Amino acid sequence: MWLHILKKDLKLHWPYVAAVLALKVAAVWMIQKMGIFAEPPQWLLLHAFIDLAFAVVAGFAIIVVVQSDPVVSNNDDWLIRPIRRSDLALDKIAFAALVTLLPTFVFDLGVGLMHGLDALPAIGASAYTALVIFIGVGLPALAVGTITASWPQAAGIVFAVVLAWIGGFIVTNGEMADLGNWPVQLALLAILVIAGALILGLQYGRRNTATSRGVFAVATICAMAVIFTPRIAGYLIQRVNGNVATTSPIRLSFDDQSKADVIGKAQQFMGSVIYVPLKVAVDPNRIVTINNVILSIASDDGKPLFLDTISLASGHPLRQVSNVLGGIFDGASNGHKSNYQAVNLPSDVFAKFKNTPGRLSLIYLLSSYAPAATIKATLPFGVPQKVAGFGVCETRLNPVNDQVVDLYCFPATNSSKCIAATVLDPAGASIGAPQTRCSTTSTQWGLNTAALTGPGQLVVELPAANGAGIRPLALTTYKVASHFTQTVVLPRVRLTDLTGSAGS
Amino acid sequence: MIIEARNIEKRFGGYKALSGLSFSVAQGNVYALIGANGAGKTTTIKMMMNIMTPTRGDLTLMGAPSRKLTSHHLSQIGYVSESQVLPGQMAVGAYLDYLRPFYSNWDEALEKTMLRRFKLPMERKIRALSQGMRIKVALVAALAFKPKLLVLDEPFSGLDPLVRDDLIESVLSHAEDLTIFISSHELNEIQGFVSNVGFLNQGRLLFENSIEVLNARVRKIRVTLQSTARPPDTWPGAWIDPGTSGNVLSFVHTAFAEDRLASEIAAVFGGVKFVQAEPMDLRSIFTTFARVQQMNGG
Repeated sequence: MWLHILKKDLKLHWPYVAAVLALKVAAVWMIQKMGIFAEPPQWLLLHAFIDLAFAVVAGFAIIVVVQSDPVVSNNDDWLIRPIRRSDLALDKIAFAALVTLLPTFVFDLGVGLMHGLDALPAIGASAYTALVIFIGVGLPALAVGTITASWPQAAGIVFAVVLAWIGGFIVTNGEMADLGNWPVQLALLAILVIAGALILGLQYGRRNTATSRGVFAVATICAMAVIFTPRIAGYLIQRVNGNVATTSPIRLSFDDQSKADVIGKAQQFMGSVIYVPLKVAVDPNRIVTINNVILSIASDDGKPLFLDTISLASGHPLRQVSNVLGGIFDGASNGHKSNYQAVNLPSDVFAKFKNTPGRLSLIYLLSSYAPAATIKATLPFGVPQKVAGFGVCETRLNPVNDQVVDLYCFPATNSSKCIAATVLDPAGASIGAPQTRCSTTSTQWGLNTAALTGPGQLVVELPAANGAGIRPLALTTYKVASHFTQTVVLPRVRLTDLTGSAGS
Repeated sequence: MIIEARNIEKRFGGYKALSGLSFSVAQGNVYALIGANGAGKTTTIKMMMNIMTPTRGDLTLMGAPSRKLTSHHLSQIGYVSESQVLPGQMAVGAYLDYLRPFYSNWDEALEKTMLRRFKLPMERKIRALSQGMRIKVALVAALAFKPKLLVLDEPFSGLDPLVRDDLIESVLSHAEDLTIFISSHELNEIQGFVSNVGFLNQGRLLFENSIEVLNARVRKIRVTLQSTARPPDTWPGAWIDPGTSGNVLSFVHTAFAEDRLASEIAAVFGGVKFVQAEPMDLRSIFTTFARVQQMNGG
C-alpha cells in the first residue's frame, strides 16, 4: 500500500516536486551553458546557489510530506486507519528518494554522459553523489519531519542546528573539518544513517518521540564534533592506517638569507597574512600539494603562545609556491632560488604577537603525486575531446591575454587529480617547462563526484608562443604516491617581519 | 466481550489521568462513557485505539491487546471524534478514494447512500467544510466499510440540533450488529439508544450499568413530612444529594425498589404524609452524581 500512499502524497504535494525538479534542471542547464571553461565565472556562484536551493526546497518538501501524516499527533486521521506504519515509513522514504536521490542521479549522470565521460564511472559517481544527497538532505529532513508536528516546530529545530553550527564556527575560528576528507565524510554519513534509521524506526515503530528527539540531539552534537574537529584529525586517522610515508620526496626549510628578498616580492593582501620564506628541494618527478599547516608560536623562553591549524592564503599570483591552489610544489619550483608560502593567521593572534620575537614552527601536511602515464594529444582550439585519464579537454586562446593558451579539462570521474602539460615540437621533444595543476575537488572512493557538475577544473595555462592549440601536447597523469609531514622552523622572528609591508 | 478494560492506569508525568479503570462492552451493545470535562473519556478512547498507551493495566479490543492492534483490527473499527484531524488539503471525494483501498469490505453503495443523505460536496477541500460537515465526512469514512465496532468521541459537540439528529439517525440506521462505544456530553440525545452507561469521574469509574438497571434503580424521591423537615442524623448510603424545602425533603435514591421504599422511608422518618418517586433522565442522573462527587471533594 506504500505506493498508494505515495500517489496520494504526490498528488497533494506535486508543486514541491516540480520546484525541486525545476531547480535541478536549472542547475544542469547552467552547467551545460558554462561548458568546460566555466564561463561566465559569475554563473559558478549562481550555480552553487541553485544547488543549495535545490537541497533546501527538497528538504522542505520532505518535511511537509512527512507532516501531512504526522507521527507526533494524537488526533490525525491516519492513526485510526488500517495503514501499516511500515507502509507509511516506506512511502515517506520513497518520497525523500524521489526528490533527492533520483533527480541527482539522473541529471548528474546525464551531465557526465553529455560531457563524454565513460558510462560506468559516470554511473558510479552520480550514484555516489545521489546517495550523499539522500543521506545528507533526505534523511535529516525525514528525521525532522517525524519528530515535529508542524512547520514552525521543524523550522525551530533547523534553526537550532544552524545556531549550533554557527556556534561551532565561532568557537573554532572557522576551522571546519575538510568535508572532502574521507574519514570525516564517512563519519558524518555514518552518524546521519544511524541516527536517521534509529529515529525512523522509533517513530514509525513505537511513536517514541521523546527518545527520537534525544537521538536527534545526540546525533547533532556528534556531527558538530566531527565537523569542527580540526582537520588534522582526518590526517591522524590516515597516519594510524599506515598511509603516511616516513620518507618525503620534498625538503622544506626556512630561507633565512633571502628573507628580505622574498618578502619584498610578496603582495600584502590582508593584514593577518604572513609569508614564510622557504627553500624547496623537491623530486622533479613529483607534485606535492599542501593539505594543511599547523602553526605553533613560542616565545624566546620557550613558552607556547599559539598552536592551531591555519589555512593557506588564497588568491596569490601564479608562479609563487603558494598559488591559487593553496600550495603546489613541483619540479618547476626548483628553478626558483627562493619561494614564499602565504598563510592566514587569525587576526587577533596576529595583532597580539606581531611584535613579539619568537620561534615559529610550521608542520606541513602534504601529499605527493607521482607521474602515472603520459599521453600525446592534439587539442586544437575550440574542439572538446575525450582524453584518457583526464576526461574531456579543450584549448582556447586566453580571452584577456593572447600570449596564453588555456587548457581546460572537465575531469572524468576517475581522472588524475593533477596534470602536467607541455607543448611538443615536431621531433616530439617538450618546448619549455611543463605546466602543472591539481584539481581542487576531492575524490571519494576513487570517484571524482564533482567532475559531474564542477566545470572549470584542471586548468593549465600554456605559452601561446610554444604553439599550444596548434602543436600536439604531452599530458601527464599523476597518482597519489604518499602523504607525509614536513616541519619548518623559523628560529627567531617577529610576525611583522614576515608581512609584505616589512619588505618594502 | 468486544472491549475489555482491566485496572487501567494512565499517567502524564506526575499527573494520574486514569486510575483503576475497568469496564467491558459486549458485542452489539451501545456503551456510553459519560463524565465531566477532564474526567478521562478521551484518554480512555485514545488508549483503546492505540493512539496512547496505558501506563498500567490490560485493555483489549476484539480480543487483541490495544497496543497490538493491527491493520486487520483497525479495518473493523470506525472512529469519529470531535478532535479528529482529517487531511484538510484533500477534497472529500479524493479522501474517500484514498481510504477505499485500505478496507476490503468497503461498501461503495453504502458510501454513496450516505453521501447523498449528507449532501456532501465531493470537490470541496475538507478544510473548507464546517465542523458539522467534517463530522459527516468522518462518519461516512467510519461506516462505509461496515465496521464491527464504532467508537465515537464527543461526536456531537458544538453541532446544531438538526445536524446532531441527522447524525444520530444515520448512526442508528446502520447500528445493526454494530457495537458502539460513545463518549458524549449530549446525554439527552444518546439516552434514546445507549444500552450501557459508565460514569467516569476524575479518572475513576464510579459506576457501570445497563440503562435499564440505571433507570430502574435511580429515582428522585420527594417525602412530604407531617411537620417541618429535619434531615436525619445518618443517611442511608444509597440516598444522595439531599435537600429540604418546608416540610418536603428530597433526595436521589440509587438503589430504588418500589416494594421496599415505604419501609425504608418509615424507618428513617417515621410517619410521612406523602412519598413521590420520579424516574430521572440520564442528564439528571449524571449531574446528580457529578454534584455529589464535587461536594465530597472526590
